[in-house]
Amino acid sequence: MEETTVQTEHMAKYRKSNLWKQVFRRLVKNKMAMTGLGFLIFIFVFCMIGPFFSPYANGGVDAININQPPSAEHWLGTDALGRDVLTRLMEAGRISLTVGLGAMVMSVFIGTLLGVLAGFYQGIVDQIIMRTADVLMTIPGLPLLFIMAAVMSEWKVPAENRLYIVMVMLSIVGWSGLARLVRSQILSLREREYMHATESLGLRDRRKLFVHLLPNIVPLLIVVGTLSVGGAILSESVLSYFGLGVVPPTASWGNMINAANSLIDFQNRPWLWIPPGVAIFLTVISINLLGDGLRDAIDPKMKSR
Amino acid sequence: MNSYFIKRILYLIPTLIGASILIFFLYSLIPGDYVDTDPNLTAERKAELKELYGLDQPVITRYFTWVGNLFQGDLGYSLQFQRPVTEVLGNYIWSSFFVALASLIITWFLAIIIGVISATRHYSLFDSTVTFLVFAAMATPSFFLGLIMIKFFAVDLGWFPAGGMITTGSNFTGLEYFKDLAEHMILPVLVLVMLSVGGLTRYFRTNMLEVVRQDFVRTARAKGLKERVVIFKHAFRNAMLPAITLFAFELPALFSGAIITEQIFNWPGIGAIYMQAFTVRDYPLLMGFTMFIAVLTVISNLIADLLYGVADPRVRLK
Repeated sequence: MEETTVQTEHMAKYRKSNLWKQVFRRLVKNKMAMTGLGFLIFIFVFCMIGPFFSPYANGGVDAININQPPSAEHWLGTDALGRDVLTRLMEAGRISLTVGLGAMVMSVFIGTLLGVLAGFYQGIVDQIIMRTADVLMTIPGLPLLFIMAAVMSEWKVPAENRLYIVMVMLSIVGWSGLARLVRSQILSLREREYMHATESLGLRDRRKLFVHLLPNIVPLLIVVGTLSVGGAILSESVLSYFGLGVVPPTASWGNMINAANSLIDFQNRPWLWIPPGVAIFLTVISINLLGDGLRDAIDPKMKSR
Repeated sequence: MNSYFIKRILYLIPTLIGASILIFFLYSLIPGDYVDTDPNLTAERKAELKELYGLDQPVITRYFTWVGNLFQGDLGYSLQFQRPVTEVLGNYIWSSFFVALASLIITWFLAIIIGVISATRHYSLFDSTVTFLVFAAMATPSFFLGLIMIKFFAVDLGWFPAGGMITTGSNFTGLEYFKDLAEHMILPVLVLVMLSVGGLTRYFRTNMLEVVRQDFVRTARAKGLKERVVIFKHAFRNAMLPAITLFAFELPALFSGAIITEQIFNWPGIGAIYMQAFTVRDYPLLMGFTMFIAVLTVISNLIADLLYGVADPRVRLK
């Protein structure tokens, strides 16, 4: 008995690594996805390591050089406080990327947990979870985010911790779609023969869930998760632009674009608000290309063509 | 069919009750109200006003009053406009509606044409370009696109007005007025089209590709039909079927206003009013409008399901 479990586990591991190898091979062939991945790595390195090489890091205020256009010293110019826009762009990127990733992890976690519970236990648990998801989906996302932002603004969270609030908000709005998807997957998986086998073998629920069901939805989670990072970054930028997300002095790509709300900055100092917008665009398009490539690589049947 | 219909309608009730609870209690969670935001009021006057607006009642009582009024078609009384919410909605909803309708028509028109051509020339240069543009459209933050358009077309080139609905201080009539209005509409509509055409094109392209690979299309080709007949008469119609559902889903968007785009372009529609009401804490307006959209969403979902069953008899409704 002992030996057979070891053996099956070994086989499972072997098969798994083989699957991921195949996925990887297919992904590497996809030029669009690799371009996306390359760009993402570049943006990550740029934002995470970039500020260490900048002489203007940590929000150095320079009263003499305010509102300078791009020059050799300041590649993207300076803002109203004389801070270097390029450095700020990198620091903002750290925040925006963190929010995107954090919100994705949280909403994938909540969505998977609730989706699995609903699909696996059905009955009243299913009813409660799915009706809640229905209600959440009935209310338009943006107003919902605005309301939550207003409530949470009153908690007087210090500016540097606002990003965690934004993550929580985005995951509250984001989990319902994923939960539906996971639930439908679980519902179809539990009708498969191997699940009937686990039933007749008398396996415990925990084992059925973690060993037999969850591994089968991992590919789905990877694809949806990747794509949702892009969505989260976009939502964060909208919230921050309207002053309801990450607030200054902490920079995020969204609140940097806020500079466009001043007429003079908008008309005469485009270096203040165009670079962050371009950064959002490049990041999100790269994430979407990679996510799309991953979907094609993981399951050619799902291929969007 | 009939029992399905009844079941679906009954099913709406808990969803709407849930939505009304969520909406009401979310708004009652926001600290501060309309009376509190006015610094010019004395404490007595504040108490008086709170009593007048019913803000001194416990939350539960206020909820039931609100829901009771909803059933009589009364969405509440806007504090900021000092008018019933239904009247305020009636005043602003149409300017949002026309922008939404114009962009909806253009978006669908473009998406169908581009999607079908892209699918019939799979992997061509046209197809790759379209695919790339679709990704680009889905990655652009709406407010940034709006700002770029204003900067480029209104500020730098001066082709179109930067915002608003009519030129301030003008009193055009007839054709002049219409021309002025149209000029102001072009940029917001363009932004909305650019934002939504991508996803829809992708949708039609995928549908079309799926249909083109089916046996009946091969049969049609084997019969020696012209390619144009095969594509437009046989494949196209089938690819359009799921679009009926999608069209019904677009219904709420016609009335909900584009919050971000209207805000950026200073368009006096319901989206901009929503943001304004948000700043001054005009809860009755916010709640009434959000509930209105929730009801529309639920109804359009129902219409989508039913229409699909009518259009495609292969789908059995249980």
